[in-house]
Amino acid sequence: MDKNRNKSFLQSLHTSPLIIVGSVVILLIAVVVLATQNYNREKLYMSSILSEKGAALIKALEAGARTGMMGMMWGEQQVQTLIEETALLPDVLYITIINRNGLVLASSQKGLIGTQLHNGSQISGIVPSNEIKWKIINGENHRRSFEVYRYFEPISNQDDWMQNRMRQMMSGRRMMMAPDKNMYLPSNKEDEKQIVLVGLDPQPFEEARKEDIRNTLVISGILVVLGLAGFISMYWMQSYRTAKRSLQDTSAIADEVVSSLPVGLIATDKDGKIAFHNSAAERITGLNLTEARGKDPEEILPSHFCGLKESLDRGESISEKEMECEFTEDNIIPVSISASKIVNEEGQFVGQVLIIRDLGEVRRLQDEIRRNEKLAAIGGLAAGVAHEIRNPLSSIKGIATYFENKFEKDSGDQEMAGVMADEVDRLNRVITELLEFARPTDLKLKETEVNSLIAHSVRLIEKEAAIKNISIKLDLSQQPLSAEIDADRFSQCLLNLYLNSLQAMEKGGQLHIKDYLKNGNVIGIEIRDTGTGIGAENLNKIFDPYYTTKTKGTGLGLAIVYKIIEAHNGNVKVRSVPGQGTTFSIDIPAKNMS
Amino acid sequence: MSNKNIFHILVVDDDFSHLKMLKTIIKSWGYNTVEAEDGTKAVELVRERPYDLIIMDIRMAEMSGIEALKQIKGYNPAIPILIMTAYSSVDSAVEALKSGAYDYLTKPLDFDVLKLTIERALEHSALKAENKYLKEK
Repeated sequence: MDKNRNKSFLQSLHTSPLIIVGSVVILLIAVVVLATQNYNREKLYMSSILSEKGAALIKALEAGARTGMMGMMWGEQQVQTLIEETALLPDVLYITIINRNGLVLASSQKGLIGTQLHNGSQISGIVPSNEIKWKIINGENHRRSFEVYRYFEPISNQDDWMQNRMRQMMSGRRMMMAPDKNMYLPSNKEDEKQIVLVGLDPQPFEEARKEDIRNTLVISGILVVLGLAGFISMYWMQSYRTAKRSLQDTSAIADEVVSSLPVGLIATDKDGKIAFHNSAAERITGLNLTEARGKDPEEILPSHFCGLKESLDRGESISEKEMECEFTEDNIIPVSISASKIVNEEGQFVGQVLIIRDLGEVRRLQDEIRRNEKLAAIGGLAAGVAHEIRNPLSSIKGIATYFENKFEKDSGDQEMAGVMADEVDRLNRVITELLEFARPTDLKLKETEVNSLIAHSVRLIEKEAAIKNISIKLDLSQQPLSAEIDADRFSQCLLNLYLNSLQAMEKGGQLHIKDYLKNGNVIGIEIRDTGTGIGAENLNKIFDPYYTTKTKGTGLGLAIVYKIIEAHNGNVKVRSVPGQGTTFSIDIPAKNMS
Repeated sequence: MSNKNIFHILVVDDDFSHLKMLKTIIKSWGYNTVEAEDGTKAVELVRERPYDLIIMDIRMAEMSGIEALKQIKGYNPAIPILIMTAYSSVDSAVEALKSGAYDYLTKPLDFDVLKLTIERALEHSALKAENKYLKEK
C-alpha cells in the first residue's frame, strides 16, 4: 500500500514539470528579494558613511570656529577661511553656511556668499535640526551631491556659561575693532540660527554601489541558472530513475513471461548465433542450449532447422508448421514451429526467433479421443451384436440342455449335448469380455482406501484358490492408502490379474499380494505368483487385445486391465521368469498422503 | 412343489426360436406354459386369466418388457415377473427391479438357475397368497 503510494508520488513528480517551473519562480522571487535587500543595505551603508563623514566635518568646523572664538580674533573671514580649507578635503564638494532664510553667509564657493541659496520653499524642503540630516541634491550638469546639514552651533545652546562668556568676549572685541556681524554666535532665536551644509561627492560610493549591484545581479543570475540547472537535473534524474525502474519492471515481467511460457523460444542475434532461449526450449528439445549460446544453430539443432533453414535464411515468417523433429538421437518429437525475424524500430534486422510448441501432449490427447471414439463405436456395435448373438446362443444352450436331459445318462449323446452347452458359454464369455473391453472408460472416481479394496477383492477368489491348493499371502501397508479410484473397475482389474495368476498355478503355489507407498505420492500394488511364468518373447504382447497363451482364454483380460489402469493415470508392468512365476506391478497416484 | 402342472407360466419373447425353446424346456419341467410374442399380447393374456408367473424379455419390438411389466403390475400386482436380457447392465436391472420385477436373468440363460428361480418365485407367490388368505380368514 505504502509502496504504491510512494510510487504514485514519484510518478506525480515525474509527470509534473509544473513543479519545476513553480520551483524556479520561487527561486527567482527569493533571489530578487535578497538582491533588493542587498541593494537597500548598500544604500543605507553608503548614506550612513557619508552622513558620518559630513557630521565629522561639521563637528570639525564647529570645533575650529569655537577655537577661533577663544582666540578673540574670530570673524567672518576666519570662518570663510576655515570653510575653504576644510572644503579642500577629498570628496568634499562644498561647505556652506546659510541662515534660516537661505542667505549664504559663508561658502567654499565664494561666488555664492551673499546670495539666496534656497528660496522659502526649498528651505522648507530641508528640515534642519540639531541632528545630522542629509539629502541628495541634483546640481548642475546632473552632478549629484550628498548634502549633510544641521544647525551650525560652534557653541552649544545648553552651555549657558560658555555662551555668556563668548558674548562678553565678542562685545569686548567690538570695542577694540570694527565689529563683524555678530554671526556664528549662538542664538536661542529660531530665525537667527545658521545651517551648515556639507556637500559630499557620492560618486565613489555610488560607483561602489553600482559595482555591488552588478555583482549582486551576476551572482543572482548565477544562482538562478544554477538553481534552474539543479531543478532540471533533478527532473532529469527523476525521469531517468523512473524510466530505469519502469524498464527494469518491464524487463522482469518480460523475463518471467518468457521463462514461464509453455512454448520453447530460441532467438538468434544479427550474426545468426544463438542469443537466447527459455527453459521450455530445453525441455522440449532435450538439448543443452545454455552451452549452445553464441554458436550457430546448425551446430546443435537438427539439420537445417528441421528443414526450415532455407525459409529462415530468406527471412520468411513461418506460422505453426507441424512436423516431427529429431532433436536428439532416436527421439522424434511432434512439434509445431513458428519463426519470424526481429527488426528494431529503424527496421534493421537484429535476429530471428524460433517458437517451438510441443505437440506430444496434444497428439496424446488426440489419440486418446480417437481411441475412445473408436471404443465407443465398438462398444455400441458390440452391444448390438451381443444382443443379437446372445438370443440364439440362449436358444442353442436351451436346446442343448434339453437334449442333455433327454439323452441316456453318461451316453455319448448326452456328453455331446453338454459340450454344446459349454461352447455356448465360451462364446458368451468372448462376447462379455468384448463388451467389457469396448466399454468407455468414463470412470466414477471416488476416494477409496486401497488396503480394504484389495482385501475385499481377495475374498472373492479365496475359494477357487483353496480348490487349486494355492495359498494367498496378503502383505498390505500398515498405513491407510487412499487413491481416486473407480472401485468396481479397479476390482475387476485385480480379479483379472488374480485369475490370471490362479490359471498359471494349476499345480498349486502361492499368490503374494502386497501394496505400499512409493515416493510419498504413488501407490504400488504387486501381484506375484509362483506359476509357469511367461517367456520374454511374449512378455511385451500380453497386454495386446486377443493375445492369449491359454486354450480357454479370450485374450482380453489383461488388455482390459491395461486400459482401466491407464484410465486411472497409472501404469501396469509385468516381469516374469519362466518356470518361477510372474509379477504384475501396478502404480497409481496416491491421494493426499500428507 | 410336486404338482407343477397346476401352475401356469406365461413366456413372453419376440425371438421366436428362444420362445419355443423356453416354452419346451419349462414344459419339460412339468409346468403349463402359454406363449406371447410381444408385450401387448402378454398384457392382453394377463387380462384374460391369472398366471402364476411371467417370464419376459426386456427388449421387444412392439412393447418393451419394462412397459409391459408396468402395465401388468398395474392390473395385477401379485404376479411374479422374471425379466430376461441379452445385454446386461446395472441400470436396466435396477429399472426392472424398481418396476416390480421379481428377478433379473441374463441371456444365454443358465437353466439350472432358471429352474431354481421359477420354483422360488412360485413358492414365494404361494406363500403370499396363503398369507393373504389367512389374514382375510
